[in-house]
This record gives sequence, structure tokens and C-alpha cells, in this order.
Amino acid sequence: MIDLWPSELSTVDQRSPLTILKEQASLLGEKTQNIVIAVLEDISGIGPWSLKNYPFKYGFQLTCPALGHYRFRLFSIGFDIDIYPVRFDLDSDVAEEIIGETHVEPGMNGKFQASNEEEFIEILKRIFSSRKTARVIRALLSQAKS
Amino acid sequence: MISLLFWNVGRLSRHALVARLARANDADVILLAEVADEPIDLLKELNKTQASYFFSPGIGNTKILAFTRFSDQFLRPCSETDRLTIRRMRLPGLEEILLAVVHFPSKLHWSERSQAMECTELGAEIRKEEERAGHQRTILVGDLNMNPFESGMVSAAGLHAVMDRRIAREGSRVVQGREYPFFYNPMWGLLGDGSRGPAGTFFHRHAEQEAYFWNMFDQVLVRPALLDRFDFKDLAILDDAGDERLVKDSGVPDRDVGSDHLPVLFRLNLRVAA
Repeated sequence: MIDLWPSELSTVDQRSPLTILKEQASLLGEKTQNIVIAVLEDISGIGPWSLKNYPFKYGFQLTCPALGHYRFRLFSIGFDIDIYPVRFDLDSDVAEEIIGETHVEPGMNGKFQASNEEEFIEILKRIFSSRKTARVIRALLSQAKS
Repeated sequence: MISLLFWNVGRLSRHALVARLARANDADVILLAEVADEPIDLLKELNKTQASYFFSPGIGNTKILAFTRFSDQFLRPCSETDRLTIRRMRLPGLEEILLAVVHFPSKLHWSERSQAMECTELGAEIRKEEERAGHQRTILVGDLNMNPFESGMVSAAGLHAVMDRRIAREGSRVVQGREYPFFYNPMWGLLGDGSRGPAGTFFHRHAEQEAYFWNMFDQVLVRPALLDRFDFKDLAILDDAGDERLVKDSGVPDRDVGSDHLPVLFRLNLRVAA
């Protein structure tokens, strides 16, 4: 039988946004002794209106097992089979904070979009460094320890 | 009976009025949206004559404020976004409930279709939390920025909120093989000038072919599991705060005194049967 498939088919040269988010989620757990952890939720069937046209959708949630698994959705992403662009649906406070702090321009309705991995990482960095994210994590840590 | 008061304060400083409203209606739980006042100023005013209220802060959500006449440990947030806070209200000797409070995106920025789509997300979020809690004793209250008859409110995958408690008592409905629990929406019974009280909670006159004038954006939805604990007569749209009118002579909300929304008050009997 002749193999019609190209030989380089299994070569993957880019990390998926999901892989990057999983790595970051795991790092948060390490930083907080797993008191505050981040979980990725597959929201492909539903998801925010702004991501309605994307077949792959994930929510990035901060959660705290010691507080009855309290959950706060920090942001959601949506992407197509081509992966990029990746569209973000952000918490409105975070969006307000990071507009102007990143060279990635928000799209319509203030929604952020990353055209490549570099931009995706830059937006993530801004989200994680925002005052709102820090405030929520600190609040969870403090309540979990009290 | 537990009295709950919801009010979209319309981004105006109204701490003194909120306190008068709470006292006049003996509110145990005060839920506020679009708040201009700092929680501390509200708390000072609420406790001016007697220190009876506590601030029950959200963790991720800071836009919906909650004040209670019991410690905040009995109203812990369990799931939040910037527009939604779902709390477990677990008071000693009373039935535990889930209290979901929402401030939905406005029609100024979102189409009816967008709101309907977003309702599927809200409905799913509530169902997830109910699954976690192991019960469906849920109340959804807030400024939904939709009328009770709009698609997002009534569609099965949305909030599935029906106007008749007998239908709601069926519990759920299967559509295309998927089961969706009902909400009972008592706000239908308060629509229009044939109802007791104001014809809606929000008035908007605009030069368009289609104008409702009165809208029922601020709503209370009750899951079937709580129907026996909620009496329609214990639900009201408030047009005064004791001696103070919140509406103009024409009956529409007076933003110079209160807000462009009217508050909603309801009571629940959560006593555990002996």
C-alpha cells in the first residue's frame, strides 16, 4: 500500500495556548503552596458571547480548595483550528487596567486578541500582573489561612 | 422570614437613602448594583442608629455589594465573575440556599441576541454551582437588563424562567434530549399598571417604533425547590423609602431622589421543618 501522507505530519512546531495556560496554572499552585490554584475549564459548549464564533474555548479560573472550591473566572480564551488569533474575554477590571499597558491593541468592545504566541504570552503576563489578579489571589490566601 | 432587598443605585451616592430603605423594609440582606458609595460609608449609614449590619464582601466581584444583618460567614461567595456573585446562604436553623446576584450587560452595549446567548452561560454557571452544592434551592436576583418575556429569560438553555408556578413545579423540561431546570419568574405578575405597585422597575421613553416605556429589568427568579418558601405577596417593587417617594408624580423613577431603577423586595421562609 502506498503511504500518501506527508512524513512531517506529526511535527508540531508551536505550543498550543492550552499548553501555555496549563504551565502557568501549575506555576501558580507552586507559588501559593496549592492554596490558590488555577484550573482550566472547557467551555466549548457555552462560553461568553464574545467568543461565540470560536470552536475551542477555555475558562481560566482561580480556585481555592480550602474555601469550598470558590471559583473566580479571570478570563476566557477562544481560538479556531488555526490557533491564532486567540481571542480573550477578560474580567472588566483587568481589561481596564491593562489597556494602554500592552502594545497589543484591544479589538472591538475592548476585547483583546493575540495574533501569535508572543502576543499571547504578553497579554497573559499583563493579566497575571494586574492589581485585580493580585487582589483576588491575596484575598483567597488570606481567607484560606484565617 | 428573611427579607432581601435588591437595588441598582444607578451610580449615584445614595448611602443615606439605602439605609432608610433598609430600615423601612426591615431588610435582612441588602444587595446593591452600580454603587457609587464606598462600602464603609454605606455601613456607617446602615449602622447609624444600631450596629446591626455587616458588609459581606465578594472576593473577585466587587461591583455587587452585599450587606447582611448576620455575619458575613453565613453568606460566603462560591463562584464569581465581574458581573455575577453566587453565594451560599447558610444560616443556623434555616435551610441553606444559593443566592445568585447578577448585573447583566446593558442594552446600551449589547443586543437582545447577545444577552440571550450570555444567558446560556449564566444558566450553565448556576447549574454547575447547584451540582456542587448538591441542591437546587436557588434564587437569582439582580438587574438582568432584560424583560421577563425576552428570549434569554425564557429559553430552556437560558434561564428557563416561566410565569406560572404550576409549570415551574414540574421541575425541569427536556429539549432535544437535554434536561433544563425551570425557574419561576414572579415578576410577570407585577408587569403593567394592573399590578400592585409600579408597572416595572425601569422606565425608558425613546423615539423608536418599539418602546415599552416600562421595563422589568430587575427581577427575582425562584427555583422550584423554593416555591413553597416564597409567597408572591411577599414580593414588591418599592416606590418609596418610608416617607420618601422614589418616583415622580407621573409614577416613573425619580433619579434626582433615588435611581433610574426601583428597588425590589422579597421575603423567603427558610425555616427548617421540625
